[in-house]
Amino acid sequence: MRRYGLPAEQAATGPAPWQLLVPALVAVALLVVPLVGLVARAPWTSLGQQLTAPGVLDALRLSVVTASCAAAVCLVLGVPLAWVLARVRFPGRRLLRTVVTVPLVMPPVVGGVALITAFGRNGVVGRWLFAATGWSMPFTTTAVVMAQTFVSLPFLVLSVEGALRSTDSRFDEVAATLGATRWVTFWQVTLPLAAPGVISGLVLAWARALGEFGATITFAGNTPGITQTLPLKVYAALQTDFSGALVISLLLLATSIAILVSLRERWLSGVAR
Amino acid sequence: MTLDARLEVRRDEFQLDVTLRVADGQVLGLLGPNGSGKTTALRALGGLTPMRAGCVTLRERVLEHPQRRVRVPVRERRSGVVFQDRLLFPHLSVLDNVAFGPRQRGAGRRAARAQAGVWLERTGLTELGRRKPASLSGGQQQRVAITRALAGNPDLLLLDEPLAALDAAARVELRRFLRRHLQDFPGVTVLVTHEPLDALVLCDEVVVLESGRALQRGSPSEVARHPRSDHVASLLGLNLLRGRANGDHVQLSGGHRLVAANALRGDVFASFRPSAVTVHTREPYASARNVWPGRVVGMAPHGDVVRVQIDGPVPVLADVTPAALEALSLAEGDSVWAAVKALEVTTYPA
Repeated sequence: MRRYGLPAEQAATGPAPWQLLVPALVAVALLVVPLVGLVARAPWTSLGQQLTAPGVLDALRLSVVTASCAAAVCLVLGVPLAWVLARVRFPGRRLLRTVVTVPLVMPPVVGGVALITAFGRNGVVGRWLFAATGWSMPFTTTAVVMAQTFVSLPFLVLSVEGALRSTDSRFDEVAATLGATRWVTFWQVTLPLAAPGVISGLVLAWARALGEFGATITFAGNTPGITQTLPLKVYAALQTDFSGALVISLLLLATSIAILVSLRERWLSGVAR
Repeated sequence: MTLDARLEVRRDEFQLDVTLRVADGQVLGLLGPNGSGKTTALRALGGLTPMRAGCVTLRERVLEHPQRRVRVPVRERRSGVVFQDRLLFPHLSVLDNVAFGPRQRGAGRRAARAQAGVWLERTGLTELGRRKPASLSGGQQQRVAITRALAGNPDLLLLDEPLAALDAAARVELRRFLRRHLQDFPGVTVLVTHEPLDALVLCDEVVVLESGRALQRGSPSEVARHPRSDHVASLLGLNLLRGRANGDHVQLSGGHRLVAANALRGDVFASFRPSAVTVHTREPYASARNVWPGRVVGMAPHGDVVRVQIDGPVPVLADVTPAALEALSLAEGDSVWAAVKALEVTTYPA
C-alpha cells in the first residue's frame, strides 16, 4: 500500500527529517523571495516605454554584441585548450587546469585590476602595444569583450573538457587506423561527439559574459554607448531612476531564465541521449 | 612471412613477450584467458600501444623498432582495427562510416562514398547505408565495423573479440560473415578470441597466450590434438566436422552419418566437446546415436584427463580419465569405437 504523500521507495525509509526540511525551505525562500520582489515591484504598466527609453536599447545592443564576441573568442581559444587538457599528457597539466579555473573563483574586480596591469597603457603587454600602435585597450569596447572573455573562458573550457573526457578516446584510435590525421580526427570525430558539451559550454560562457560587471567596470569603465553594458546600466540607473533599474534587471533575469530553459530542454537532454 | 613481429610491452607488473609470424591471406588466432595479453598484443601490432623493444615488420616495411627509434604513426600503418564494442562513429551514417577510410586515403567525398557503396554491396549491407549506427543491432554494427576496416584497404586486419558481445544467433551469422570475407581478404588477419569454435572455423594458425607469453602454437586442430596444458585443452577442446545437413541428419564428407540435436539444411559445421565422446573396445549397444569405428593414433595427457586421438572414417578427439583408459587397457594402434549422443552435437550453418 502506498501512503499518501510518500513515493513508494521512500515509505520504507520513513519521512524526511525536519532537521533537513527546515533549512531546505529557508534556502528556497532565500533564492526565490528576491526574484518575487523583483517581479512584484516591476513597473509593468510602463514597461514598454521604459524598455525603449534612450540608453536602454543601446546598452542591450552593446551587451548582446560584446557577449557574443566574447563567447566566440572563448569558442575559438577555449575548445583547443580543452582538447589539450583532455587529450595531451604533459607535466604540469593539473597545474594548468587549476590556473584555468582561477577566474571562476576570483572576484571579478580583481580580474579587472589584473587586466589593467596586463593591457593598460603601462601594462606588461599594453605598454608594448601602445608603443607600437598608439592604441591602448582600457575604456574601449574591446576592453569590454576582453573582460567578459576573461571571466567566461573557464566555463567553456571546463564544460568542453568534461565532454571530451567522457567520449571514448578509442574513437580517435579508430580514426587514426583509418588514416586520419589528428586534426581531421578532431574536426570530424572528436568535436561532433563532444558537440552537446561544446554548445552548453558556449551558452554558459555567453550568459556569464552577459552578466559580467566587476571586471568590466574596472577595466573598461562605464561610458554609455561604448562600454556601458546592461549590468553597468542597472548600476548607473540605481543612483537616479530605481524603476528603470528594475526594468533592466527584469530583462536580464528573463534572458538568464531563457538560457537555463534552453540548456535543460535541448542540450542537457542531448547529453543524456 | 608478411607479418613478422616480436612484441615486447611492459605495463606495470605485466610483461608481454611474444613472436608472431603470419603469411598473406592467413588468419592468426590469439587465444588465452583474460589478462593473458591478447588485446595488448593486438594493440601493439596496430601501433596503439607503444612497445619497449622488439619489432614489427609488415611486407618488408619496418613499422616499429624501438631500438632503432622507428615508429610509424598509426595512420600510416595500413592496419584496420575492429574493437569488440564496434565504435562506429555515432554521428555518421553507415555509408559515411565506411567512406571515412577511403576519404582519408585521398578520395574525394563523392568517390569515397562510391567506394563505400561498393564495399557495402560486397558485404551485403547496402540497405543499411543511410541508417545511423544506433539504430542497428549488435551483429549489424559489427558487420559495418568490419566493412569499415576493410574499406580502409589495410594490409593488416586486427580483430579484437569481434564475436564476444553478441547473442548466440548473431554470433553464428557473424562467424559466417567473417569466414566469407576473411577468405577474400588478401592481407594478414590477427583475430583475438576465446571461443574454440571461432579458432577452429576461422583461423589457419593459433597462438595460445598465457601471462604474456606464447604457451603453444600451431594449426587449431594440431593444438587441439596435443594440448600442452589443461587450459589449452579447454581453449581448443572441440571436435569440428563438416557435412551437409538434412534435418537433424548430417551427411559427413567421409560418407558417415551424424545425428545432431538441432535441425538444419545445407552445408554445416557439426561440433561436440571431446568430453562428450565415449570410447569402447567393442561396438557398443548404447543409446548413443552416433557410433564410429576407429584406431587410437595418439594420447596426450593433460590435467586429470587424457585426450585420445581416434582416426578413422570420422576422426575425433575424446577426453578420457586415466582410470577408464587403464580399465580399457588402451594403447596406440588399438581398434576402438567412439560414441556420441545426438544431444551433444550442435550444428551451425557453414
